[in-house]
This record gives sequence, C-alpha cells and structure tokens, in this order.
Amino acid sequence: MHEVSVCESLLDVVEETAKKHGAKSVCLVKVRIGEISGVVPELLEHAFEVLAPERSITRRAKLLIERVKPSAVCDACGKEFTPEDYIFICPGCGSGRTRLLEGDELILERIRMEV
Amino acid sequence: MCEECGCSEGNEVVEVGEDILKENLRFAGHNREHLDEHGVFSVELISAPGSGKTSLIEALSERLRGIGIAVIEGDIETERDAERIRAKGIPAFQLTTGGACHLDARLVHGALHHLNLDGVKLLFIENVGNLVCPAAFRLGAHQRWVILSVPEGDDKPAKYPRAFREASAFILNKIDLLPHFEFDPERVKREALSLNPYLRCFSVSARTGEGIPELAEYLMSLLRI
Repeated sequence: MHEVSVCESLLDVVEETAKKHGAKSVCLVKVRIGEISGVVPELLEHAFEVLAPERSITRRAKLLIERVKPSAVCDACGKEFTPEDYIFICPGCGSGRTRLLEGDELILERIRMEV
Repeated sequence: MCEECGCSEGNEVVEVGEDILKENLRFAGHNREHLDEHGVFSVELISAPGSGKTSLIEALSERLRGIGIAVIEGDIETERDAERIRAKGIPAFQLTTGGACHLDARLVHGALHHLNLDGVKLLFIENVGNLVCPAAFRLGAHQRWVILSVPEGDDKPAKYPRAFREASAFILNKIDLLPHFEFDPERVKREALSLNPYLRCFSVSARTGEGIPELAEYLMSLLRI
C-alpha cells in the first residue's frame, strides 16, 4: 500500500505547481502510470479520493490515469518489442542486452486549474 | 468545458511532465553524494519478510571482518534487527517507519546523519520486509540486491517484476533447505534473468555459510579493495 505515499508526493507536486501559477483550485490531475511501476492504479485512485479533499487547492480535483504498457528495445539488434509476461529477452535475436523504454514511470503529466 | 473530465471549471492547463517521486529522487541524489564524499559503497537489500536479510548481513560481515561496515536497518517497529547487528560489534542505526511499508530516501538521509561514517567502506541498508512497495523508492544506494529464500517458492520473480527489474544482484538464500522443498533453483534463476538479463545471481545459505565466500568476493570487487 505504498500508493498512499505516492499519492501524497503527487499532491505535493500538484500543489506546488498550482501555487506557482496562482491557481485558486485544481480540477483535473492527469498522470501516466507504467504497468511495471509497482503502483496499482485502483489503489492510487482510492488514495486520491481520500487525500485530495484534505487540501483546499485540490478539494474538488479529479484524477485521470493513463496506463502505460511496457516497451523495450534490444541493444544488440535494435528491435523494439513489448515484453510479454515480463520477459525481457529480445524476441528477435535472443539477446539479453535490452532496455526498458517505458512502462515503469510515475509521471504527473498535466493539471487543469482555475486561475 | 474540459473535454477530459467534462467539468465546467478550469481555465488554464499546465503541462508538468515531472516524476511524481521527484522529491524522493532529490533526497536519493543527496544520499549518493554524501556516501561518495565519504568513500562509502552502499548496498540496499530488499526481500519479503523472513528471507534472511539480517542473517545475510551477519554472514557477510563475519566474512569481511576488518573492512569498515555499517548498517541501516529498516523496520515498521522494534530495534531488534539493529540490536542483532550491534551484538556483532558493527555500528547500526535502526529506522522505524511507524507503519509505512517501505523506506524512502528522506528517512535514509536522516539515518546517514546519525551514523559516523569515518572508516566505513561498506554500508548495508536493509529495507522493510516487502517485495512490492520498496521497489519504487530509490534510496541512493549504489546497488540493490533482491533476496528470495527457498521456502518462498520458485515462482516468485515474475510476481514482483519491479523488484527484480531494478536489482543488480539476485541472492537465493536458505539453499540448505533445498532437499525439503520442491524448488527448482535453475527455474528461478531463468525466470529472474528473463526479467532482468543483467542480474548477477548467487545461491547461498546464510546459516551454513555455503556460497557466502563467493558473494563476499563479489562485494570486495565492487569495493575495489
């Protein structure tokens, strides 16, 4: 249940950004959550429902989550692939020299607010 | 009107594009700098409860006697693990999270300022027993090791992808129990390596000492001593 900590950090960044832009209130918080970030979107939503109303600036904010599927690239042959079942061996050449391109992120993408 | 949520409020959109855990990353960066300034190499250990993190630290410390070692222990409650380590004559600082299921870089930052790092070459940071939550929070350690013990079963790596993805080494512990469990060490290694082909794999028993010299040697190579 580290989604509570993740949500507190999210609200800190939202609040900081909103105040910097002189916002009265925030109405939408859009995030990108990677499927292998270890964060369960439903749990983050629950945490947000409880924690966002505790701050005046996010009192009525809604959370929108975009889930990001993992994608990887092979450094041996250059093939880009979707790691099925978390298998990061290149399906093209069998090499283990692969890198994750996306799928583990926890990103605050944008906020919509009333200035 | 806002086309994303349908509300009638909101007259300004700000593209942020920042890591939600940026504050944790900032502290993790500080921690790394602090450790590097003191010439300390640090290893974070993560595993489920009872996999033998503390026993592994004890076994490695025994083997590496003479080089300066310090330990940060993370638990939800109690000083028990730090007391175990101190009983071996090794300085240990106990972090208790008071309910939180993971350490974060800010907590470790606080602990680093309580530890005297003079003469210390190697710092172990033992995370709270949990294979899910700690994985998302970088602490600033140079390496993360993930530990799995034989009684937990050989199907675990794919269930905890992030823990294995972000580790440098995978330690299979309690191999002295292999005769008593249906556990295929080759299967678990294969699965761990398909998740993270760069993992260094070790099989040990912290209790009998089997495999500890090889792991200690690897650690020494990282310390460049």
